[in-house]
Amino acid sequence: MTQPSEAHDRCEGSESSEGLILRARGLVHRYGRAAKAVDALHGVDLSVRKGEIFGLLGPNGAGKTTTIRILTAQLAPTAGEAMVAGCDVVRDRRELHRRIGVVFDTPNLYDALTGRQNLVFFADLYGAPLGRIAALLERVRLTEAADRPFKGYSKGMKQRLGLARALLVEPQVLFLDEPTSGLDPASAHDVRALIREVADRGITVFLTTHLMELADQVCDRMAILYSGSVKALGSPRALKMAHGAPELVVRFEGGEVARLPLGGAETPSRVAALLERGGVQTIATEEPTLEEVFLSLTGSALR
Amino acid sequence: MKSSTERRPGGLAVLLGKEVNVGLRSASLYLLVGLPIVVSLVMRVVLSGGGTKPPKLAITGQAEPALERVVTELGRGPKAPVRLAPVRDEAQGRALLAKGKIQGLLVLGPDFDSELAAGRRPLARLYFDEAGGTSAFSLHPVIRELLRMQARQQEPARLEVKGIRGISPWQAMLPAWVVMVLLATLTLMPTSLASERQTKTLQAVLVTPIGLGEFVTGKALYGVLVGLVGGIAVLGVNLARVGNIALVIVLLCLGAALATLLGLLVGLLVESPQAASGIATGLYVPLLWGAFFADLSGVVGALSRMTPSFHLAHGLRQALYSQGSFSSMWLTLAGLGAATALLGLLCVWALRRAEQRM
Repeated sequence: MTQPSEAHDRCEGSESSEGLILRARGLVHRYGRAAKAVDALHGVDLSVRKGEIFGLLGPNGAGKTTTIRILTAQLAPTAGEAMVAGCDVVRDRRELHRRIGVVFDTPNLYDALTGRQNLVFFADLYGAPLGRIAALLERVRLTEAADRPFKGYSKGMKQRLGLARALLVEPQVLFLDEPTSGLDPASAHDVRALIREVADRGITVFLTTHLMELADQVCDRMAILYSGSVKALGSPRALKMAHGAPELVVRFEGGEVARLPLGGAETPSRVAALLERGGVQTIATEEPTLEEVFLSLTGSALR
Repeated sequence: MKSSTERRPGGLAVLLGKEVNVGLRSASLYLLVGLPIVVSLVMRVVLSGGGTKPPKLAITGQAEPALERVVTELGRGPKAPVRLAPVRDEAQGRALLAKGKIQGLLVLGPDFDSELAAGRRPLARLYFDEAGGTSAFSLHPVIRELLRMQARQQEPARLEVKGIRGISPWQAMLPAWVVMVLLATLTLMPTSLASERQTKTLQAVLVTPIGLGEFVTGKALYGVLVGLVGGIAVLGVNLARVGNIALVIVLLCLGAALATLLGLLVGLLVESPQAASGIATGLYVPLLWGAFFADLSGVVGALSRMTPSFHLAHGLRQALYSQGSFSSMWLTLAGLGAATALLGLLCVWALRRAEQRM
């Protein structure tokens, strides 16, 4: 087994010369053997800049969890390579785990222990200072519930405590797998706010989601993953501009709606004609949604 | 941003602490460790006779005083074969018997003494409560013996009685209860591993600097600790006399390690919690047989004597009661050590396999 000090020596600085904190090249993962093998990933390439919130958007079964498991060194890729926070995800597993935090899709702490005891245990494993725990509990608004058993927490509280655990080591990259999945709107709002707060402190955030709203609201850049392949990569706005067209939407009193391409040569004359017809209630511009982007890229709906 | 942390990352001590912390809040630990302790105490009371009183017997008829003397000679207090209840006549005796106040009524005929002296066989009628089966069983041979003694008057030889410190039935059984508590970890370990997989806490620990090997080693240390503490508790609450304490500790450690490693092996190879629990129970039962049924004849006894639990119980018996030494028990120790080492190697193999599958 590689000794921690050796791994530390082998890990590079946290970011590459291009300012990338995460770089994956040709990631392939195959489950099963021989004839029954199923390829979950077919050569995924990703690059994430330091300090950005990066989202991996895709439907269930697209390969999001497999990708995040490879990037957090929980799963070895069948082929390809990835560097995260300067560490190779296969060779430098132990040092990598000192540099990243992971929030899972299901809150996985010990039911029998209190929130505080859970954080103390994980802080001990990381060697993180125990003094940080009180501040973290405060930040995730769990100070009052800290000494209650974890099994009595609501799902939102459990997810927030999971976030606190991931922040025990002041990670360089925070990975979140479906962070708002199954949460009520208020808890989802809390988690979104915490993600932004973390990013504001300079921590790179890598999240997977099948929720377009989350990706649209918090991500600086995102990749659309479908059937194990990255179909598009860029900021939500750039993707929407590249794979859809803004429209002028005219709504009439009777409920009729007319959609016209915003930049179309005939649009001004057609709008004038509609106005002359009368009964127009509102005229507004609408950007394409990520749902439409996804549909145009994959030919199927996201949900 | 700092990548290093201010404290040294925790290892086995932290993992062991967590196991103890979680384990102390688990009902299954108390059940699996507490049950053998409680049963051993109950069996001690039952087998040492402290919980049962000798049946009450009333005697009416001519030879009553002589028989009473014989009963008195046989013993007093809880060791006496019967306790005598005074009755006026047969009618009162039968009434007491019907009320359950006495368990037996011995009625001797009017010429009992003279017929006995003449060498004939006089009639003695014994009434007993049919509902109290154990009383009937115990009364019958006692009364036959009383009458036999009464008839001979004279002992054929002088008998000198001396007490020696032997092994009572409960003492002989005590090592088996110790083995039972050691085997608790065989069922605790797969359940614990399966639970960590199911609730994904294992996944959470494995994204810290801790590896699967350390994680499993932490569980193994906890298992040995549970077995050791449980074994000492069984011996302690029974106030067992210990001939060779070092040998007892070594045997407890070997037994706890053996059961823990077997449990971990099952937990590492079988991912389904239900299947792991079923397999562990399937192993637990025959191993327990080894400790309890080795004295039986036939296949069960022969198979029981082939189990490590038999050798463990046998070794403990020697170490507790016979001043057994390391040199006199090298074969038992070597066998148990080899079985433990083999299971350890199998666990390493299963661990590598599990790591590759992750």
